[in-house]
Amino acid sequence: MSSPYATLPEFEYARPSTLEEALKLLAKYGEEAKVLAGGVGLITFMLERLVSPRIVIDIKKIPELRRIEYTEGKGLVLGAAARISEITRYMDSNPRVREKYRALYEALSRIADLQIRNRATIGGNICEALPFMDSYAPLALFDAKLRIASVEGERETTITDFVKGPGFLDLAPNELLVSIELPDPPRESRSGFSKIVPAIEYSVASVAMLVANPVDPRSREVRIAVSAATPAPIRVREAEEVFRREGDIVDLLDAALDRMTSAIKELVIEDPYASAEYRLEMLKVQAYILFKRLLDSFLQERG
Amino acid sequence: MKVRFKVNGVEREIEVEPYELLADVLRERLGLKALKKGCWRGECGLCTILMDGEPVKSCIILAVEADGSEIYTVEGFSEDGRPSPLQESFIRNAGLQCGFCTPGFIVVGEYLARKPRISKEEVKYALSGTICRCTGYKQIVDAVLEAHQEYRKE
Ligand SMILES: Cc1cc2nc3c(=O)[nH]c(=O)nc-3n(C[C@H](O)[C@H](O)[C@H](O)COP(=O)(O)OP(=O)(O)OC[C@H]3O[C@@H](n4cnc5c(N)ncnc54)[C@H](O)[C@@H]3O)c2cc1C
Ligand code: FES
Ligand code: FES
Repeated sequence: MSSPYATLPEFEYARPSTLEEALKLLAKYGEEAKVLAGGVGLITFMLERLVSPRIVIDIKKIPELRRIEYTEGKGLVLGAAARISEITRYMDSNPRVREKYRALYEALSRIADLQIRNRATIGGNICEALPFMDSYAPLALFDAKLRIASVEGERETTITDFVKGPGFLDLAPNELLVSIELPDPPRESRSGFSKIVPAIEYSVASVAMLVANPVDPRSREVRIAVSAATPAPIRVREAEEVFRREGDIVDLLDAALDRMTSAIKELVIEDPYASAEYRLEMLKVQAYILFKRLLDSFLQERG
Repeated sequence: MKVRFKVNGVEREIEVEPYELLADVLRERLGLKALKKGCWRGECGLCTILMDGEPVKSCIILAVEADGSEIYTVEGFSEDGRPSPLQESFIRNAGLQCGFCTPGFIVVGEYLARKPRISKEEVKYALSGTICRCTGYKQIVDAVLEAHQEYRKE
Protein backbone atom coordinates (compact mmCIF):
# COMPACT_ATOMS: atom_id res chain seq x y z
CA MET A 1 0.00 0.00 0.00
CA SER A 2 1.38 3.38 -0.84
CA SER A 3 0.22 6.51 0.90
CA PRO A 4 0.75 10.09 -0.24
CA TYR A 5 3.47 12.23 1.40
CA ALA A 6 5.39 9.18 2.64
CA THR A 7 5.86 7.20 -0.56
CA LEU A 8 5.90 7.76 -4.27
CA PRO A 9 3.34 6.43 -6.74
CA GLU A 10 4.71 3.57 -8.84
CA PHE A 11 6.41 4.42 -12.12
CA GLU A 12 8.97 3.10 -14.57
CA TYR A 13 12.36 4.75 -14.81
CA ALA A 14 14.58 5.43 -17.82
CA ARG A 15 18.04 6.96 -17.86
CA PRO A 16 18.90 7.80 -21.46
CA SER A 17 22.53 8.65 -22.16
CA THR A 18 21.92 10.63 -25.34
CA LEU A 19 19.55 13.43 -26.26
CA GLU A 20 18.20 11.42 -29.17
CA GLU A 21 17.24 8.56 -26.87
CA ALA A 22 15.50 10.95 -24.46
CA LEU A 23 13.51 12.56 -27.27
CA LYS A 24 12.43 9.15 -28.59
CA LEU A 25 11.16 8.19 -25.15
CA LEU A 26 9.28 11.49 -24.89
CA ALA A 27 7.75 10.92 -28.34
CA LYS A 28 6.70 7.42 -27.34
CA TYR A 29 5.16 8.19 -23.96
CA GLY A 30 4.05 11.82 -24.42
CA GLU A 31 1.80 12.92 -21.58
CA GLU A 32 2.46 9.72 -19.65
CA ALA A 33 6.10 10.71 -19.23
CA LYS A 34 7.71 13.21 -16.88
CA VAL A 35 11.22 14.54 -17.23
CA LEU A 36 13.37 14.27 -14.10
CA ALA A 37 16.27 16.70 -13.79
CA GLY A 38 17.20 17.52 -10.18
CA GLY A 39 13.92 16.05 -8.95
CA VAL A 40 13.51 18.75 -6.30
CA GLY A 41 10.18 19.78 -7.78
CA LEU A 42 9.07 16.58 -9.49
CA ILE A 43 9.62 14.29 -6.52
CA THR A 44 7.76 16.56 -4.10
CA PHE A 45 4.89 16.87 -6.61
CA MET A 46 4.77 13.09 -6.94
CA LEU A 47 4.80 12.68 -3.15
CA GLU A 48 1.76 14.93 -3.03
CA ARG A 49 0.19 13.01 -5.95
CA LEU A 50 -0.05 16.18 -8.00
CA VAL A 51 1.49 14.15 -10.82
CA SER A 52 1.65 10.39 -11.35
CA PRO A 53 3.61 9.67 -14.51
CA ARG A 54 3.82 6.19 -16.00
CA ILE A 55 7.48 6.74 -16.74
CA VAL A 56 10.11 9.09 -15.34
CA ILE A 57 12.87 10.05 -17.76
CA ASP A 58 16.08 11.06 -15.97
CA ILE A 59 18.04 13.46 -18.18
CA LYS A 60 21.01 14.06 -15.87
CA LYS A 61 23.30 11.54 -17.53
CA ILE A 62 23.13 13.22 -20.94
CA PRO A 63 26.47 15.06 -21.22
CA GLU A 64 25.15 17.61 -23.71
CA LEU A 65 22.57 18.77 -21.17
CA ARG A 66 25.20 19.41 -18.51
CA ARG A 67 27.20 21.97 -20.47
CA ILE A 68 28.31 25.25 -18.90
CA GLU A 69 30.34 27.28 -21.37
CA TYR A 70 31.20 30.90 -21.94
CA THR A 71 32.60 32.06 -25.28
CA GLU A 72 33.68 35.64 -25.80
CA GLY A 73 31.29 37.32 -28.22
CA LYS A 74 28.85 34.41 -28.20
CA GLY A 75 27.81 34.42 -24.59
CA LEU A 76 27.00 31.88 -21.93
CA VAL A 77 25.47 28.52 -22.79
CA LEU A 78 23.86 26.49 -20.02
CA GLY A 79 22.68 22.92 -20.57
CA ALA A 80 19.18 22.47 -19.15
CA ALA A 81 20.41 19.89 -16.63
CA ALA A 82 23.31 21.98 -15.32
CA ARG A 83 22.90 22.19 -11.57
CA ILE A 84 22.46 25.57 -9.90
CA SER A 85 25.58 25.02 -7.74
CA GLU A 86 27.64 24.00 -10.79
CA ILE A 87 26.70 27.23 -12.54
CA THR A 88 27.54 29.47 -9.58
CA ARG A 89 30.80 27.58 -9.03
CA TYR A 90 31.70 28.04 -12.69
CA MET A 91 31.04 31.75 -12.29
CA ASP A 92 33.08 31.93 -9.09
CA SER A 93 36.06 30.51 -10.93
CA ASN A 94 35.47 32.87 -13.88
CA PRO A 95 34.87 36.23 -12.18
CA ARG A 96 34.64 38.06 -15.51
CA VAL A 97 31.72 35.89 -16.53
CA ARG A 98 30.17 36.31 -13.09
CA GLU A 99 30.30 40.11 -13.39
CA LYS A 100 28.87 40.05 -16.93
CA TYR A 101 25.88 38.03 -15.73
CA ARG A 102 25.82 39.40 -12.20
CA ALA A 103 22.01 39.48 -11.89
CA LEU A 104 21.83 35.78 -12.79
CA TYR A 105 24.58 34.95 -10.32
CA GLU A 106 22.85 36.83 -7.51
CA ALA A 107 19.56 35.07 -8.23
CA LEU A 108 20.99 31.57 -8.52
CA SER A 109 23.22 31.76 -5.47
CA ARG A 110 20.18 32.59 -3.34
CA ILE A 111 17.81 29.88 -4.55
CA ALA A 112 16.55 27.77 -1.64
CA ASP A 113 19.55 26.39 0.26
CA LEU A 114 22.91 24.66 -0.13
CA GLN A 115 21.49 21.15 -0.40
CA ILE A 116 18.76 22.09 -2.88
CA ARG A 117 21.18 24.08 -5.08
CA ASN A 118 23.32 20.95 -5.27
CA ARG A 119 20.44 19.08 -6.95
CA ALA A 120 18.17 21.60 -8.66
CA THR A 121 18.94 22.43 -12.28
CA ILE A 122 18.45 25.60 -14.28
CA GLY A 123 16.11 23.79 -16.71
CA GLY A 124 14.05 22.35 -13.86
CA ASN A 125 13.78 25.78 -12.28
CA ILE A 126 12.48 27.17 -15.58
CA CYS A 127 10.11 24.26 -16.26
CA GLU A 128 8.62 24.18 -12.76
CA ALA A 129 6.69 27.21 -13.97
CA LEU A 130 5.71 28.83 -10.68
CA PRO A 131 5.76 32.64 -10.65
CA PHE A 132 8.51 32.91 -8.03
CA MET A 133 11.17 30.86 -9.85
CA ASP A 134 14.34 32.85 -9.25
CA SER A 135 15.85 32.25 -12.68
CA TYR A 136 13.05 34.10 -14.49
CA ALA A 137 13.81 37.79 -14.03
CA PRO A 138 17.55 37.49 -14.83
CA LEU A 139 16.90 35.31 -17.88
CA ALA A 140 14.44 37.92 -19.18
CA LEU A 141 17.00 40.63 -18.41
CA PHE A 142 19.75 38.98 -20.49
CA ASP A 143 17.47 38.15 -23.46
CA ALA A 144 18.03 34.44 -22.89
CA LYS A 145 17.21 32.14 -25.78
CA LEU A 146 15.78 28.76 -24.89
CA ARG A 147 16.43 25.83 -27.20
CA ILE A 148 13.60 23.32 -27.29
CA ALA A 149 13.91 19.95 -29.05
CA SER A 150 11.67 17.06 -30.03
CA VAL A 151 12.03 14.17 -32.51
CA GLU A 152 10.60 16.54 -35.10
CA GLY A 153 13.39 19.08 -34.72
CA GLU A 154 14.48 22.14 -32.80
CA ARG A 155 13.08 25.56 -32.14
CA GLU A 156 14.17 28.64 -30.24
CA THR A 157 12.09 30.80 -27.91
CA THR A 158 12.46 33.39 -25.16
CA ILE A 159 11.71 33.04 -21.46
CA THR A 160 8.79 35.47 -21.69
CA ASP A 161 7.22 33.53 -24.59
CA PHE A 162 7.97 30.17 -22.97
CA VAL A 163 6.50 30.83 -19.51
CA LYS A 164 2.81 31.59 -19.90
CA GLY A 165 1.66 31.53 -16.28
CA PRO A 166 1.56 29.32 -13.17
CA GLY A 167 2.09 25.73 -14.31
CA PHE A 168 1.69 26.73 -17.93
CA LEU A 169 4.53 26.55 -20.45
CA ASP A 170 4.68 26.70 -24.22
CA LEU A 171 6.05 23.13 -24.24
CA ALA A 172 4.46 20.13 -25.96
CA PRO A 173 4.49 16.76 -24.14
CA ASN A 174 7.09 15.42 -26.61
CA GLU A 175 9.40 18.43 -26.20
CA LEU A 176 12.45 18.95 -24.01
CA LEU A 177 14.21 22.14 -22.95
CA VAL A 178 17.79 21.52 -24.09
CA SER A 179 19.77 24.65 -23.36
CA ILE A 180 19.67 28.27 -22.37
CA GLU A 181 21.83 30.78 -24.22
CA LEU A 182 22.60 34.19 -22.80
CA PRO A 183 24.13 36.52 -25.38
CA ASP A 184 26.90 38.86 -24.23
CA PRO A 185 25.39 41.79 -22.33
CA PRO A 186 26.28 45.34 -23.41
CA ARG A 187 29.93 46.20 -22.75
CA GLU A 188 30.69 47.68 -19.35
CA SER A 189 27.22 46.96 -18.06
CA ARG A 190 26.30 46.31 -14.43
CA SER A 191 23.38 44.22 -13.27
CA GLY A 192 21.77 42.96 -10.10
CA PHE A 193 18.86 41.01 -8.69
CA SER A 194 16.63 41.59 -5.69
CA LYS A 195 13.73 39.67 -4.17
CA ILE A 196 11.37 39.96 -1.23
CA VAL A 197 10.97 36.75 0.71
CA PRO A 198 8.53 37.04 3.62
CA ALA A 199 7.94 34.25 6.14
CA ILE A 200 7.11 31.86 3.30
CA GLU A 201 10.26 30.77 1.51
CA TYR A 202 9.39 32.10 -1.92
CA SER A 203 9.68 35.57 -3.36
CA VAL A 204 6.56 37.70 -3.72
CA ALA A 205 8.32 40.37 -5.81
CA SER A 206 11.57 40.03 -7.76
CA VAL A 207 13.43 42.56 -9.89
CA ALA A 208 16.48 42.25 -12.12
CA MET A 209 18.09 45.35 -13.57
CA LEU A 210 20.94 46.19 -15.92
CA VAL A 211 22.59 49.55 -16.59
CA ALA A 212 25.11 50.33 -19.34
CA ASN A 213 26.78 53.64 -20.23
CA PRO A 214 24.74 55.67 -17.73
CA VAL A 215 26.20 59.05 -18.70
CA ASP A 216 25.67 59.15 -22.43
CA PRO A 217 21.96 59.38 -23.40
CA ARG A 218 22.66 58.06 -26.90
CA SER A 219 24.37 54.87 -25.90
CA ARG A 220 23.00 54.24 -22.46
CA GLU A 221 20.78 51.30 -21.78
CA VAL A 222 18.69 50.35 -18.79
CA ARG A 223 16.89 47.02 -18.65
CA ILE A 224 14.25 46.01 -16.09
CA ALA A 225 12.68 42.59 -15.65
CA VAL A 226 10.21 41.53 -12.98
CA SER A 227 8.88 38.19 -11.76
CA ALA A 228 7.20 36.60 -8.73
CA ALA A 229 4.79 39.54 -8.43
CA THR A 230 3.29 38.64 -11.81
CA PRO A 231 2.06 35.26 -13.09
CA ALA A 232 4.91 35.12 -15.63
CA PRO A 233 8.18 37.08 -16.02
CA ILE A 234 8.01 40.43 -17.80
CA ARG A 235 10.62 42.66 -19.46
CA VAL A 236 9.28 46.10 -18.72
CA ARG A 237 10.24 47.76 -22.00
CA GLU A 238 7.88 50.70 -21.43
CA ALA A 239 10.01 51.71 -18.44
CA GLU A 240 13.28 51.00 -20.24
CA GLU A 241 12.34 53.41 -23.02
CA VAL A 242 12.12 56.31 -20.61
CA PHE A 243 15.91 56.13 -20.16
CA ARG A 244 16.43 56.90 -23.86
CA ARG A 245 15.24 60.45 -23.26
CA GLU A 246 17.73 63.31 -23.03
CA GLY A 247 18.78 64.37 -19.56
CA ASP A 248 20.54 63.08 -16.50
CA ILE A 249 19.78 59.42 -15.94
CA VAL A 250 18.95 60.03 -12.27
CA ASP A 251 16.20 62.46 -13.19
CA LEU A 252 14.49 59.85 -15.35
CA LEU A 253 14.07 57.23 -12.64
CA ASP A 254 10.75 58.43 -11.24
CA ALA A 255 9.17 58.64 -14.67
CA ALA A 256 10.48 55.17 -15.50
CA LEU A 257 9.03 53.66 -12.32
CA ASP A 258 5.68 55.32 -13.07
CA ARG A 259 5.72 53.75 -16.50
CA MET A 260 6.55 50.41 -14.93
CA THR A 261 3.57 50.72 -12.60
CA SER A 262 1.10 51.55 -15.34
CA ALA A 263 2.50 48.83 -17.61
CA ILE A 264 2.15 45.95 -15.17
CA LYS A 265 -0.42 47.09 -12.60
CA GLU A 266 -3.27 44.99 -14.00
CA LEU A 267 -1.12 41.85 -13.95
CA VAL A 268 0.11 41.85 -10.36
CA ILE A 269 -0.89 38.83 -8.24
CA GLU A 270 -3.18 39.26 -5.24
CA ASP A 271 -3.16 36.24 -2.91
CA PRO A 272 -2.94 35.31 0.78
CA TYR A 273 0.86 35.67 0.76
CA ALA A 274 0.88 39.30 -0.33
CA SER A 275 -1.53 41.88 -1.65
CA ALA A 276 -1.14 43.29 -5.14
CA GLU A 277 -0.53 46.71 -3.63
CA TYR A 278 2.34 45.42 -1.49
CA ARG A 279 3.90 43.48 -4.36
CA LEU A 280 3.79 46.48 -6.67
CA GLU A 281 5.27 48.75 -4.00
CA MET A 282 8.06 46.22 -3.37
CA LEU A 283 8.86 46.07 -7.08
CA LYS A 284 9.27 49.84 -7.11
CA VAL A 285 11.32 49.99 -3.92
CA GLN A 286 13.65 47.26 -5.11
CA ALA A 287 14.00 48.80 -8.57
CA TYR A 288 14.92 52.09 -6.89
CA ILE A 289 17.52 50.48 -4.63
CA LEU A 290 19.02 48.40 -7.45
CA PHE A 291 19.24 51.46 -9.68
CA LYS A 292 21.13 53.41 -7.00
CA ARG A 293 23.40 50.46 -6.34
CA LEU A 294 24.29 50.01 -10.00
CA LEU A 295 24.88 53.72 -10.55
CA ASP A 296 27.05 53.90 -7.44
CA SER A 297 29.19 51.08 -8.75
CA PHE A 298 29.88 53.08 -11.92
CA LEU A 299 30.76 56.15 -9.89
CA GLN A 300 33.09 54.22 -7.62
CA GLU A 301 34.95 52.88 -10.61
CA ARG A 302 35.51 56.36 -12.02
CA GLY A 303 36.74 57.42 -8.56
CA MET B 1 16.69 -2.14 -10.80
CA LYS B 2 20.17 -2.77 -9.55
CA VAL B 3 21.92 0.09 -7.77
CA ARG B 4 25.64 0.03 -7.03
CA PHE B 5 27.12 2.64 -4.77
CA LYS B 6 29.66 3.17 -2.05
CA VAL B 7 28.10 3.94 1.33
CA ASN B 8 30.32 5.13 4.17
CA GLY B 9 33.30 3.65 2.39
CA VAL B 10 31.76 0.23 1.67
CA GLU B 11 30.70 -0.98 -1.81
CA ARG B 12 27.03 -1.95 -1.79
CA GLU B 13 24.77 -3.45 -4.40
CA ILE B 14 21.05 -3.57 -3.90
CA GLU B 15 17.91 -4.26 -5.92
CA VAL B 16 15.43 -1.37 -5.68
CA GLU B 17 12.17 -0.27 -7.25
CA PRO B 18 12.43 2.95 -9.30
CA TYR B 19 9.98 4.68 -6.97
CA GLU B 20 11.93 3.99 -3.76
CA LEU B 21 13.42 7.07 -2.12
CA LEU B 22 17.12 7.13 -1.32
CA ALA B 23 16.46 8.10 2.31
CA ASP B 24 14.22 5.03 2.76
CA VAL B 25 16.67 2.66 1.10
CA LEU B 26 19.58 3.89 3.23
CA ARG B 27 17.57 3.80 6.42
CA GLU B 28 15.25 0.84 6.08
CA ARG B 29 17.10 -1.42 3.65
CA LEU B 30 20.70 -0.72 4.62
CA GLY B 31 19.89 -0.14 8.28
CA LEU B 32 21.48 3.31 8.60
CA LYS B 33 19.00 4.39 11.22
CA ALA B 34 20.79 7.52 12.37
CA LEU B 35 19.64 9.03 9.08
CA LYS B 36 16.15 10.38 9.64
CA LYS B 37 13.33 12.04 7.79
CA GLY B 38 11.63 15.06 9.33
CA CYS B 39 9.54 16.84 6.71
CA TRP B 40 9.69 14.30 3.85
CA ARG B 41 9.75 17.10 1.30
CA GLY B 42 13.11 18.77 1.07
CA GLU B 43 12.64 21.50 3.65
CA CYS B 44 14.13 20.59 7.01
CA GLY B 45 17.52 19.12 6.05
CA LEU B 46 17.36 16.30 8.60
CA CYS B 47 17.91 13.66 5.88
CA THR B 48 21.06 15.35 4.53
CA ILE B 49 23.80 13.06 3.19
CA LEU B 50 26.98 13.71 1.25
CA MET B 51 26.65 12.48 -2.32
CA ASP B 52 29.88 12.65 -4.28
CA GLY B 53 31.15 15.10 -1.69
CA GLU B 54 28.19 17.51 -1.75
CA PRO B 55 25.41 17.80 0.85
CA VAL B 56 21.99 16.89 -0.59
CA LYS B 57 18.59 16.00 0.86
CA SER B 58 18.02 12.27 0.46
CA CYS B 59 14.23 12.44 0.94
CA ILE B 60 13.85 14.00 -2.51
CA ILE B 61 16.24 11.73 -4.41
CA LEU B 62 15.34 8.39 -5.97
CA ALA B 63 17.54 5.49 -4.92
CA VAL B 64 18.15 4.73 -8.63
CA GLU B 65 19.60 8.21 -9.08
CA ALA B 66 22.36 7.31 -6.63
CA ASP B 67 23.68 4.54 -8.88
CA GLY B 68 27.46 4.89 -9.19
CA SER B 69 27.78 7.53 -6.49
CA GLU B 70 29.70 7.74 -3.25
CA ILE B 71 27.57 8.43 -0.20
CA TYR B 72 28.28 9.39 3.38
CA THR B 73 25.58 9.37 6.05
CA VAL B 74 26.00 10.63 9.60
CA GLU B 75 27.26 7.13 10.51
CA GLY B 76 30.23 7.58 8.20
CA PHE B 77 32.28 10.16 10.09
CA SER B 78 33.22 8.46 13.34
CA GLU B 79 36.30 6.25 13.42
CA ASP B 80 36.22 2.93 15.26
CA GLY B 81 33.20 4.15 17.20
CA ARG B 82 35.00 7.31 18.32
CA PRO B 83 33.29 10.62 17.57
CA SER B 84 34.85 12.77 14.86
CA PRO B 85 36.44 16.13 15.80
CA LEU B 86 33.25 17.84 14.61
CA GLN B 87 31.07 15.58 16.72
CA GLU B 88 33.30 16.32 19.74
CA SER B 89 32.93 20.00 18.97
CA PHE B 90 29.12 19.66 18.92
CA ILE B 91 29.29 18.12 22.39
CA ARG B 92 31.67 20.80 23.75
CA ASN B 93 29.65 23.67 22.30
CA ALA B 94 26.24 22.20 23.17
CA GLY B 95 25.33 22.19 19.48
CA LEU B 96 22.23 20.21 20.32
CA GLN B 97 19.41 20.08 22.80
CA CYS B 98 16.70 17.58 21.88
CA GLY B 99 19.02 16.14 19.22
CA PHE B 100 16.35 15.67 16.58
CA CYS B 101 18.10 17.81 13.98
CA THR B 102 21.61 16.61 14.80
CA PRO B 103 22.01 13.94 12.06
CA GLY B 104 21.44 16.63 9.44
CA PHE B 105 23.69 19.24 11.04
CA ILE B 106 26.56 16.79 11.52
CA VAL B 107 26.60 15.97 7.80
CA VAL B 108 26.45 19.59 6.59
CA GLY B 109 28.80 20.51 9.44
CA GLU B 110 31.45 17.99 8.35
CA TYR B 111 31.20 19.31 4.81
CA LEU B 112 31.66 22.91 5.95
CA ALA B 113 34.28 22.32 8.66
CA ARG B 114 36.52 20.42 6.20
CA LYS B 115 36.57 23.23 3.63
CA PRO B 116 39.98 24.87 3.25
CA ARG B 117 38.51 28.26 4.19
CA ILE B 118 35.15 29.30 5.57
CA SER B 119 33.85 32.42 7.29
CA LYS B 120 31.21 32.69 9.99
CA GLU B 121 28.84 34.35 7.53
CA GLU B 122 29.32 31.50 5.07
CA VAL B 123 28.64 28.92 7.77
CA LYS B 124 25.44 30.70 8.78
CA TYR B 125 24.24 30.95 5.20
CA ALA B 126 25.17 27.36 4.38
CA LEU B 127 23.29 26.05 7.42
CA SER B 128 20.06 27.75 6.36
CA GLY B 129 18.76 24.59 4.68
CA THR B 130 18.76 22.70 7.96
CA ILE B 131 16.26 23.53 10.66
CA CYS B 132 16.69 23.41 14.44
CA ARG B 133 13.85 24.29 16.78
CA CYS B 134 15.92 24.27 19.98
CA THR B 135 19.38 25.77 19.94
CA GLY B 136 18.89 29.08 18.19
CA TYR B 137 21.75 28.01 15.90
CA LYS B 138 24.52 29.96 17.65
CA GLN B 139 25.99 26.87 19.30
CA ILE B 140 25.82 24.97 16.03
CA VAL B 141 27.67 27.71 14.16
CA ASP B 142 30.27 27.84 16.94
CA ALA B 143 30.68 24.06 16.85
CA VAL B 144 31.31 24.06 13.10
CA LEU B 145 33.80 26.95 13.28
CA GLU B 146 35.73 25.37 16.13
CA ALA B 147 35.93 22.04 14.29
CA HIS B 148 37.09 23.91 11.20
CA GLN B 149 40.10 25.17 13.15
CA GLU B 150 40.94 21.60 14.13
CA TYR B 151 40.58 20.15 10.67
CA ARG B 152 42.84 22.89 9.37
CA LYS B 153 45.59 21.77 11.73
CA GLU B 154 45.40 18.21 10.37
C1 LIG C 1 12.67 23.59 0.24
C2 LIG C 1 12.62 24.21 -1.11
C3 LIG C 1 12.94 25.55 -1.27
C4 LIG C 1 12.91 26.14 -2.53
N1 LIG C 1 13.26 27.46 -2.66
C5 LIG C 1 13.30 28.02 -3.89
C6 LIG C 1 13.75 29.36 -4.09
O1 LIG C 1 14.11 30.05 -3.14
N2 LIG C 1 13.78 29.85 -5.35
C7 LIG C 1 13.39 29.11 -6.43
O2 LIG C 1 13.45 29.59 -7.56
N3 LIG C 1 12.97 27.85 -6.28
C8 LIG C 1 12.90 27.30 -5.04
N4 LIG C 1 12.49 26.01 -4.90
C9 LIG C 1 12.08 25.28 -6.08
C10 LIG C 1 13.28 24.59 -6.71
O3 LIG C 1 14.26 25.55 -7.05
C11 LIG C 1 12.85 23.88 -7.94
O4 LIG C 1 12.04 22.80 -7.52
C12 LIG C 1 14.01 23.35 -8.74
O5 LIG C 1 14.76 24.40 -9.30
C13 LIG C 1 13.53 22.47 -9.84
O6 LIG C 1 14.68 22.02 -10.54
P1 LIG C 1 14.94 20.46 -10.69
O7 LIG C 1 16.11 20.30 -11.56
O8 LIG C 1 14.99 19.81 -9.37
O9 LIG C 1 13.63 20.05 -11.50
P2 LIG C 1 12.75 18.75 -11.46
O10 LIG C 1 12.09 18.60 -10.16
O11 LIG C 1 13.53 17.61 -11.97
O12 LIG C 1 11.67 19.18 -12.55
C14 LIG C 1 10.74 20.21 -12.32
C15 LIG C 1 9.69 20.19 -13.45
O13 LIG C 1 10.29 20.58 -14.68
C16 LIG C 1 10.23 19.53 -15.65
N5 LIG C 1 11.54 19.56 -16.33
C17 LIG C 1 12.77 19.54 -15.73
N6 LIG C 1 13.74 19.67 -16.65
C18 LIG C 1 13.13 19.76 -17.86
C19 LIG C 1 13.60 19.93 -19.20
N7 LIG C 1 14.91 20.04 -19.48
N8 LIG C 1 12.70 20.01 -20.20
C20 LIG C 1 11.37 19.92 -19.92
N9 LIG C 1 10.86 19.77 -18.68
C21 LIG C 1 11.72 19.69 -17.66
C22 LIG C 1 9.95 18.28 -14.85
O14 LIG C 1 9.28 17.33 -15.62
C23 LIG C 1 9.11 18.81 -13.72
O15 LIG C 1 7.79 18.98 -14.13
C24 LIG C 1 12.51 25.39 -3.66
C25 LIG C 1 12.19 24.04 -3.50
C26 LIG C 1 12.22 23.44 -2.25
C27 LIG C 1 11.87 21.99 -2.12
S1 FES D 1 13.34 14.99 5.60
FE1 FES D 1 14.49 15.53 3.89
S2 FES D 1 14.62 17.64 4.07
FE2 FES D 1 13.25 17.13 5.66
S1 FES E 1 18.34 20.29 18.95
FE1 FES E 1 16.21 20.10 18.92
S2 FES E 1 15.75 20.55 16.86
FE2 FES E 1 17.80 21.02 16.98
